[in-house]
Formats: sequence, structure tokens, C-alpha cells
Amino acid sequence: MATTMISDGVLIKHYTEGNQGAFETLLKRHKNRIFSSIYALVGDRYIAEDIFQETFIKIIHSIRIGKYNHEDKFLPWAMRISRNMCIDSIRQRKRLPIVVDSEGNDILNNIGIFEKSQEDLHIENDEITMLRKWIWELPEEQREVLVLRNYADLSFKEIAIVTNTNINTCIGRMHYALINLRKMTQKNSVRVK
Amino acid sequence: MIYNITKTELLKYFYNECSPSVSQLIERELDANPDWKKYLNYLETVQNTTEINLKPSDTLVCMILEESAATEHHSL
Repeated sequence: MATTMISDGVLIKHYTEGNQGAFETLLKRHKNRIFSSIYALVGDRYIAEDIFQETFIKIIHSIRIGKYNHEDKFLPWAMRISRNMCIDSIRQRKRLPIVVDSEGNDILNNIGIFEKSQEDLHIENDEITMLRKWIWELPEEQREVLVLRNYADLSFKEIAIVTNTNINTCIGRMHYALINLRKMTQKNSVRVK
Repeated sequence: MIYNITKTELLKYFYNECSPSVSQLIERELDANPDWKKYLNYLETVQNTTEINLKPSDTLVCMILEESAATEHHSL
């Protein structure tokens, strides 16, 4: 039996009319893709959770005051909000002064703020893990396109809107990301099918 | 016959973003162009590799839902 999925635009309309369940459906529909994309951009689960929460608080506020006018383009809109917050977070982290302990170690690293969790650090020595590791080494703008295309499932046109660029720039960055990944695999003699 | 299909078109094809006519051409000529196949396989590998389906914690989702209800209630 075929089922018809209620569009994001209709869910948002229902939510503004007082249907709390509509917002819950919307959140459950998109939470994993948005969260995975945030995580892939900032690389830290705790920071990703903060940004995820802030993103949805902003989304709720915008919808409630009638600022949402993107009809069924909810995901690119939400990704744009979260992406801007990711950039702010990365900038803030870069601006933070490095405070070292008596042994010269960054104390923020010692308390785990910039470190990946144990789960993230679990490294298996296989080709897929290596490729995943190298994705983190790509320049930010290349990793961003790769992440938004593969994690958030945004089209290149939508990525162009989210990143304030154009389709050709996005496709170009994607090409460079793929070329760089290929170079890394060749340099490290890892076969990728 | 050699068709001038660029990597950009193959990239768009892989993500279902190229025109129907180019899609048909690629599908028709794919077997005769091992380089295209190799490139599409590589894209698939990268896509599979980047697929991590992380979930925000249930507590966080509950907090957001509470926020959405509170905001709604507050504005009524």
C-alpha cells in the first residue's frame, strides 16, 4: 500500500497552527542528517550536540515568529543555519588562546574539549577507516561540499545556496576533494576500488 | 563512437542531477567506457565511506521537543 509522506512545508504549517506532533515528525525526519553533517564539519560530538540544539532553537523561534518562508526547502534552510553556527564555532575555537600546563600540554586537550571521544578515536586499520581519516584532512571548503552532498543529501544547487557560492564552484570543490582523496590513497598505497 | 562526457557530468549523473538525455547517454555507453565505470565506482566508495549515520542523543531530542512545546505554549 502506498503511503504519502506529508511535506516539510505542510508540517511547519501544522506546527504554526498548534500541532506539536507536526514538529516532532519534522525533527525526527531530519535529525540524523543534520546532526551527522554538523558532526562532520566540527569533528566533536559535544560541540555538535550544542550546535544541533542551538540550530533547532533558532528554527523553532523563526517558525513561531512567522519567518519561515521556504515552503518545502526546510533541510537546506536548516543546514544553512547549522553551517553558519559551525563556522562561528570553528572561528571561536581558533581564536581561543592556548593555555598550557606545567608540562607544556594544552589544558583544553587534557580536559577533552578539542579531542575526539573514545568512540571517535577507535581506529581500525582498514582502507575505509583510512579514507574516512583523510576526509578530515581535506581543506574545509572541500570537506564541506563533500559532507553536505553525501551526509545531508543536498543537491549541488542547494549547497551553492547554503554556502553562498554557485553550482560550478561547488562541483569544482567536489572534484578537488575527490582528487585529493585519490592522491592520499595513492601516496599511502591503499587500494580503493 | 567516442562521446565527450566530462567528469562533471559523471558526477552529476552519480547524484541524479544531470539531464535525462545525458543520463540516457551515459547508461547506454557505460559498458564501452571502463574509465567512466571506474570513476563511478570510486564515487560510490567515497559515498559509502562518508556515510556515518550519527544520532543526537534522545535527551537532546526531548529537550528540543520541550522547547518547541514551551515556545508554542508561551506564544498562545
